[in-house]
Amino acid sequence: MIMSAAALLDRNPEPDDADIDANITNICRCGTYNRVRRGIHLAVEIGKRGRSK
Amino acid sequence: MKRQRLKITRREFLIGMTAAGTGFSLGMHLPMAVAKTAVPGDADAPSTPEINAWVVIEPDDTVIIRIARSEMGQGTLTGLAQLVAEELECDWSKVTTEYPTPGQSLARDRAWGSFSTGGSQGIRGSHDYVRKGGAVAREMLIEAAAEAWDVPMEECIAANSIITHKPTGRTTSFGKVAAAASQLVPPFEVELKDPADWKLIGKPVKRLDTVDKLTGKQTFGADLTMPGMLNAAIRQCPTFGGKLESFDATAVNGMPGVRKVVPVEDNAVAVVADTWWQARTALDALPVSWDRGENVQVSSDSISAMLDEGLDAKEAFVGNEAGDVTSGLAGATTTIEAIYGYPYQNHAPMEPMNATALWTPERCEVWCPTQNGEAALEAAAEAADLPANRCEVYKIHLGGGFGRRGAFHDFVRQAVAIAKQMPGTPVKLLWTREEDMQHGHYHPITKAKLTGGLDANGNLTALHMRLSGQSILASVNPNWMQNGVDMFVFQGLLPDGDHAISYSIPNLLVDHAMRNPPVPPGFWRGVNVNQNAVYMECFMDELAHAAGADPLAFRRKLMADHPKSLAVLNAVAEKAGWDTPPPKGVHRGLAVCKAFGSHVAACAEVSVSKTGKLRIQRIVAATDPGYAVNPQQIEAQVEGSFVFGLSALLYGECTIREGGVEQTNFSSYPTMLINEMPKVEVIIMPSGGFWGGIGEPTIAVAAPAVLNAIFAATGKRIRRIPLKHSDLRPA
Repeated sequence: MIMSAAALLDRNPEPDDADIDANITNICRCGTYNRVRRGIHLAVEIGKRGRSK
Repeated sequence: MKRQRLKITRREFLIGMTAAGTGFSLGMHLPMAVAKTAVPGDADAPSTPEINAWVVIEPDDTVIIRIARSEMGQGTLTGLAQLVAEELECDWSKVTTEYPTPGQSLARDRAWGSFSTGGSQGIRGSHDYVRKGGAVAREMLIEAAAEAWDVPMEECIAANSIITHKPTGRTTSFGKVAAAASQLVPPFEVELKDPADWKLIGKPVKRLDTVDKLTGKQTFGADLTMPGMLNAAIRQCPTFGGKLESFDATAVNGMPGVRKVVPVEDNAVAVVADTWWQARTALDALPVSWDRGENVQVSSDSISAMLDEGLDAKEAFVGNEAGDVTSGLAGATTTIEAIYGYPYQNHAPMEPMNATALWTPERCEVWCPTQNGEAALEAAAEAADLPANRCEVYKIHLGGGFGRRGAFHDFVRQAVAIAKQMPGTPVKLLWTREEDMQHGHYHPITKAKLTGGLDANGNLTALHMRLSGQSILASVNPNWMQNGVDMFVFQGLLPDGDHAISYSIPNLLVDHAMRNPPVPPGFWRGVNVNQNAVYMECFMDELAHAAGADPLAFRRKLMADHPKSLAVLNAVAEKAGWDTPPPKGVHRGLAVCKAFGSHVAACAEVSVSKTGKLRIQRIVAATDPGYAVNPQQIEAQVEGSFVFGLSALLYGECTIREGGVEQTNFSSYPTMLINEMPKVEVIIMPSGGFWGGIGEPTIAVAAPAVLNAIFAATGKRIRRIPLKHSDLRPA
């Protein structure tokens, strides 16, 4: 899941929810989906902050 | 401050440490780094003396908190550490954790209490003694500082790992006095803090296990490796209860990497090879014949017929009874009846069953993810044919448990049985996904027939719920039954306690016709509230509809004596905006339940397209667990509960053919994906005064809230789970 998220961000540095839905197809039995989604958005934000320094 | 002393010596407290510190034991402080340090023969003696069983403090102020329950993603490691640290008054940023081993527990007379991690018991089952463990250690540290300063310990306080002598302002750190503290006799009695004074309990601190998982540093059982280790793949008889008849090892002995083909217990065969893939490839090529036994006749249809008979059987065990349901129903103005069913489900954790074992005639060691280290040790000793004190189990964080790795240690017994045939060589047994799907201990199958009676004013005056189906205890823990009755079957429907019914119904009968098909049942996250809440909450909606009443108003009338359940129901209704119309095309459903000591409710918002496509848009969920130790962790568990509960509702079903499970992988036993995940809004409303569970209760309300919303959207009552069988096109 983490690798899928990293690969998605490599291809698409600012994915929206639809992009995440289409690209993160990993199964999670514990149910972290909403946190993964928030994590991807957070990674984008942190990346932007890093670049603007 | 007057203190009583327990008259025991320090040596008695420490005795277990030496017993466990021999042989192949892992470094006491590094059990999580298992793969890197678990080199057989590489003994790593404990370097720092402990303060007490729960707390070790290094000279650099690092605080090691020992946790007996298992971490499987549910966050109990962090929550329990918070409880210890709260009383210890240590610096949270210096806290790390470790698992004591089951062997140490055995040697120290269960110093850490139960290792069992199930039934949402992690925190609610050990909050008292783990906090006392922290408090005792704090008192010993303060006493050590006071002795060094030669001042009364009553003049000293501890906070943030610093001890201060109040009159002089002198300070020292936990790390500086830890060695001296470890020599003291622990206080006999300690007082726990008033919840109003908690500083760490109730804080959404970050989990202690996240970084290692995020960076890949965390080693799971399936990844474990050690020098000289071989790998095993296993195949079990495809029919439950069947036996291994024979196999032809000569057909695969020459295949790459193959070391040995071995029978395992009486129902399985394993190939041991250099790599797991070699073992699996050879296993696929291995000619095996099975004695499939009489269960080959069993199918989903035959099980269904067995349960149908129970729905109307004369004999049934009573779980909850009030008034006289027969006359209540006879006197009702309106009666309605419905039959619901809930299928077998598999735990299907992402990490398939596995265990690594090393056996010699003198000693047996096992490395495995387990929800119950003590039970794993017992299973290992039995399979090893050695006394338990010559065996050891090293726990590894689980890649999911959900109940599969708690009551059942078939994978441990098998790993030991294989290792016993390869003395002195560590062997890792890893099941394929297919074995995992087909050799589970499944969520039991049940049906329910519900009959309800309304008076002329639309009040519910009588309800009979007849459950028919499988008992977990009859198969797994017959000694927990009471006169042949499995009271667990009635979770969520009982007169009182942790699984009390949320309604007062004047004439009520809940009874159970036990029908036990030969499919092994098990405790599946949420256990029996999963189906019972579907039966109760969906039928409550049916009754409200028959009474022409609003489902919320109808429930409220029955909940006057259940104020905490009513409070969570009201909270979700309010946040979801129950009293205002939902957006166009969106429909709402409610459910409420008490399970594992907590009160939970959910309001689901769904839409159903003209073609019958369901979209679960939004869930509002409320939980009253009494005390909320880590709110962000509770939120994660509540969110995750919807994935587990709704995956079961949408897709989850194990069907039986020729006495075995038909599903083989996630292709035939799907789980919902991120693109189906609704928005989840979590309300945590701890009312105090009790300790409820978190990991399981919410699963119960996930399915019925959505089913009731589907009725609101389509006018269709879906009484058979999973939904994949139903045409949802609006009627």
